[in-house]
Amino acid sequence: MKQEEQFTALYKQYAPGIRKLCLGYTGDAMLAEDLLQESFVKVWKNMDKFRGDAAWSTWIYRIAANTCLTHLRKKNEQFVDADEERLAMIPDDERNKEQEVQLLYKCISKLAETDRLIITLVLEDKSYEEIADITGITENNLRVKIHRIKKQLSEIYSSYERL
Amino acid sequence: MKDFDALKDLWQQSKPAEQKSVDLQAITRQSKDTKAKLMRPLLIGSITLFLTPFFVIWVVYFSKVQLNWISTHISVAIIALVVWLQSILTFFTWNKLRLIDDTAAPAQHLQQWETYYAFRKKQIQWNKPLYFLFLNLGMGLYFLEVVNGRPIGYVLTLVAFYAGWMLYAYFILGKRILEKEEKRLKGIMDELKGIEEQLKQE
Repeated sequence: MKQEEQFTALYKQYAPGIRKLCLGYTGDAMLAEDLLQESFVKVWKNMDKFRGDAAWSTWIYRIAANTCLTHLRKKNEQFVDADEERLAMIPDDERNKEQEVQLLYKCISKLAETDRLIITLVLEDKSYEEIADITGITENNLRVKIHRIKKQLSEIYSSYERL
Repeated sequence: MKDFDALKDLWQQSKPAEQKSVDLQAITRQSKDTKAKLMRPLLIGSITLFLTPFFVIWVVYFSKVQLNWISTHISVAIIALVVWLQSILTFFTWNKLRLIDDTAAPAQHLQQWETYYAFRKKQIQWNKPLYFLFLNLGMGLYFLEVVNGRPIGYVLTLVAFYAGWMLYAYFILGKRILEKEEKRLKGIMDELKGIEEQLKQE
């Protein structure tokens, strides 16, 4: 398969998941789109380095995780604040499923940077082994972290729901 | 408190955002790549600096300008050497950025960026003052022959204008830019360290 065809196939398969990862990380659709694109530019540039030691999925998610983590925080803080204001203006009864999802994205973006990535991968139903491979965190440490993040996210979500 | 499984259901029920058609050209050509954005000016700068001494040499030795003093030859040598060294250093910095591995594990990747920014922070502290000093030494020697035989008023005006601008550029403008840049790099490094800490054992 030509590199271009392979890239297209990878993009089709993994872009939706990476977009959600970026959305969970930033809490902003436009910024997430930028990070998605930046991630896939890196995938394209590094495809020749892929040796098959890990699955394509792990490799691509790792690139996306690195892209998110090295993205400067200042920018997304501005967007998050603006979106929070918009969300706060929506009355409770108008909050449909999609808005609940949006609220979930906002809540995730309230977590610490690495926690956002870890919990998004958990929500995507990735195995602990794969999350450990993507993040480079040992499985034992990961279990402790995930337990804490789950609790933290549930609390944040509930506190927003009460508003 | 909302159960985490309920949140997971909510997440998985969410429709993935609309998938645009895959346009490889658009994806790879739009400059969303932060690293590429940092690398581009370094490469252009390095090439421009590399070519500049050729222009200086042409002006002094091959154009209609006739300059023969030994001080002028020394000045051309100093300027060419300083600018070529700066070109090499800029290229080295570009290469350092190029070598950052986007596919490494996050802790390793963050460490590579941190090392790069620490290098940049050190570099701007010694490189800019040295470059400025030697470049102006070269320019000073070059002016010796250029102003020779000119009216004293012209010489004084030229020296005052040149020295005034350089002193302003170094002590006021340069320091301000340096402080701003140091603050920016420190901010980035602190942020990277903070994220690195998050990856450690709990």
